[in-house]
Amino acid sequence: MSEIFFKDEELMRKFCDGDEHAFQALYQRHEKPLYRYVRRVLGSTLVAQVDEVFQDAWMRLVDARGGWQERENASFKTWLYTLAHHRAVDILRKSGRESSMDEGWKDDGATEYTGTAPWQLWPASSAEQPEQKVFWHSAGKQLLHCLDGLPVAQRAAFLLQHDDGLSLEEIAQVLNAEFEMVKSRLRYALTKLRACMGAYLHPLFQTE
Amino acid sequence: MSLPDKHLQQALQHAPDRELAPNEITRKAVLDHAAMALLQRKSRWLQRCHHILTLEYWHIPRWQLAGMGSTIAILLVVAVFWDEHVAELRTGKFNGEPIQVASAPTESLQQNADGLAGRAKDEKTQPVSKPMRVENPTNSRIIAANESSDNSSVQNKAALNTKSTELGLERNETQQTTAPVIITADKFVVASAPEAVVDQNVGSSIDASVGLKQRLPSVGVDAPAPTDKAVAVNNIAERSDRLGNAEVDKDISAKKLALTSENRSEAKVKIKKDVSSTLGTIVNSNMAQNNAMKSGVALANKDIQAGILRILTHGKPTVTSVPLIDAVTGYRIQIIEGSDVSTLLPDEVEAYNQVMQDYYARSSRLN
Repeated sequence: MSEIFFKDEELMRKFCDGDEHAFQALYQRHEKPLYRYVRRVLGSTLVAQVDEVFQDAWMRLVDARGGWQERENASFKTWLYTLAHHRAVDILRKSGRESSMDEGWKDDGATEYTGTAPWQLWPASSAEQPEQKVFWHSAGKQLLHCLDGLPVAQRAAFLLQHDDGLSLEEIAQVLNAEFEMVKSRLRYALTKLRACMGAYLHPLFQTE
Repeated sequence: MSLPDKHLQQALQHAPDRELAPNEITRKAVLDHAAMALLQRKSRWLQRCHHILTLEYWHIPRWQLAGMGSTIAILLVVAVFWDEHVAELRTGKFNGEPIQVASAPTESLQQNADGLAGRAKDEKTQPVSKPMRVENPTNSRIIAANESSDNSSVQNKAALNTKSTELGLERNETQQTTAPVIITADKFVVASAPEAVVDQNVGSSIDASVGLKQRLPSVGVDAPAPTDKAVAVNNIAERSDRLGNAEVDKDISAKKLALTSENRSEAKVKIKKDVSSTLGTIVNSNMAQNNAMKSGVALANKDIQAGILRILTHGKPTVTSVPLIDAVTGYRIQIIEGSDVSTLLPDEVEAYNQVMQDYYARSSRLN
C-alpha cells in the first residue's frame, strides 16, 4: 500500500518500527515546505545556512525518534517545525541577526492601515492572464522582501500560519510561546506586511 | 486578526522561492542518516544477542573468559581420555574386542615342565642362572622374556635350545622373540626390560616357563625381522592354527594386545602433542585480542585528553557533505579501513567506542 494514504503520525510510527520507506514518504511530503520555511525564517542574508539547518532538523528528528514513540497525540508536523525553528534561531543567534523574541510583543510603532487598502484592489490569484501572473509574482517577491524586515518571532508566526497552515495552538507550540503572545505577534506582522505591500503595490493600481 | 490574510497568503504562494528544494547531497545525507539509524537499531539487537552468547552480557572481563575457556578445554580433553580408558577396562573390551586374559598354567603343563627340568639336570646341561618365572600363576599372569636382550636371556636360550633338542623341535624357533609382555587380569603393560620378570629363586617356575616356551614354536619363528612385529604375530597365528595348541593361542592374544597397546601409546602421545599445540594457539589468540583491546582503550583515552570525541566504525565508506553523527552519543562517526579489516580491528574499535561511550555517560551525568 502506498504511503501517500497514511497520515504523518502513522508514517512516523512505521519509521520508528523500522520502515525506511515510511521515512522516505515523510521526507518527500515535507521536504519543500520545511526548506522554504527555513529559508524564509533565516532571511536573504543567511541563505548559505539553509541547507545546514534543514539537514540538522531532519537528523535530529531521526535521532530523537525514540522520544516520538513516547508522545501521545503529538503532531508530527509541529514537532518537525519545532526542531527546525530552534535550529534556525541558534544560527541567527550566532550570526547576531536575531532580534529579541519578545520584540513583537510590544508596540513598535506599526499602525493599522486605514482607509481603502490597496490589496483590496488586487486581482484574483486564480487569474490566468499574463499580466495578473506577473502581478502575483511581483507581489510574492515584494512579500519576501517585506518579511526580511520583520522580527524573527513575527516572521515565523506569519509563515507558520499563512504558508504551512498551522493553527494558533500549534504555532504557540512551535515557537514555545503563549497563545496570546502568538496572536499579538501575528497581528503586528500582518500590520507591517500590509503596510509594506501596500506601499509597493499601490502605484501599480493607481496607474491602472 | 487570527485568521490568515488571503491576499498575503496568495502572494506568498506566488513567491519566487516557491519551488526551492534542498540540493541532492543534503537529501541523500538525510535519507542515508535515517537508513543508518535503522541499521544501527538492527545491529544493536545483533550485538545484544552476541553479548549474551559470548557472556559479555554478564560483565565478565575477557581475560577471565579466556582463562575459563582454556581450563574448560583442558578438562574436557582429560575427561574424554580418562573416561575412554576406564570404560575399556570396565567393559573388558579394547577397540571393540574383548581382552583375552591368559589362564594359569595347567597342571599337566606344570608336570611336564618339572619333568623337563629334571632331565636337563641329569644330563648336566648348563644351569639356568636367571630363570624366568611366572610370579603368580593363579592370578592369570603370563610372562614372556626377550632372550636376546641380555646375558640371562642368553642363558635361558641355551637351556631352551637344549630342551628343544630333546623334544625334537627345531632350535631356531626360540631365537627370535617379540617384546616382553606382562598381562594381568586388570591391566596390561609393556615391560621395559626382561630383568623385571627374571628371578633366580624360583626354579620350578622357570622350568615351567621353559616348557611353555618350547610349546610355543611359533614365537619369533619365520619372522622376517624383529621390528616387524605384526607380521610375526600373524605368522604365529598361522602356526598355531596348524598346531592347534591352546597355550599358543593365549600367547598370540597377549602379543596382539601388546602390539595394540604400543600403537595406542603412540597415538596418545601424538594426540597430546596436538592438544598442547591447539591450546597454545588459543592462548596466543586471546593475548593478541587483549592487546588489541588495550590499544583501543589507550587510543580512546588519548583522544579524549586531546578533546577529540568520535565514534569509530569500519565498513564501506560513504561520501556525504556532512559528518555522520552517532545516535547515542552525538559524536561524529569516523569510518576506518573500508570493508577489508583485520581480525583484531573490530575488537580494538569496540574497546575504543566503549571508552568513548563511557566518557559520554560520565559527562552526561556531570551535566
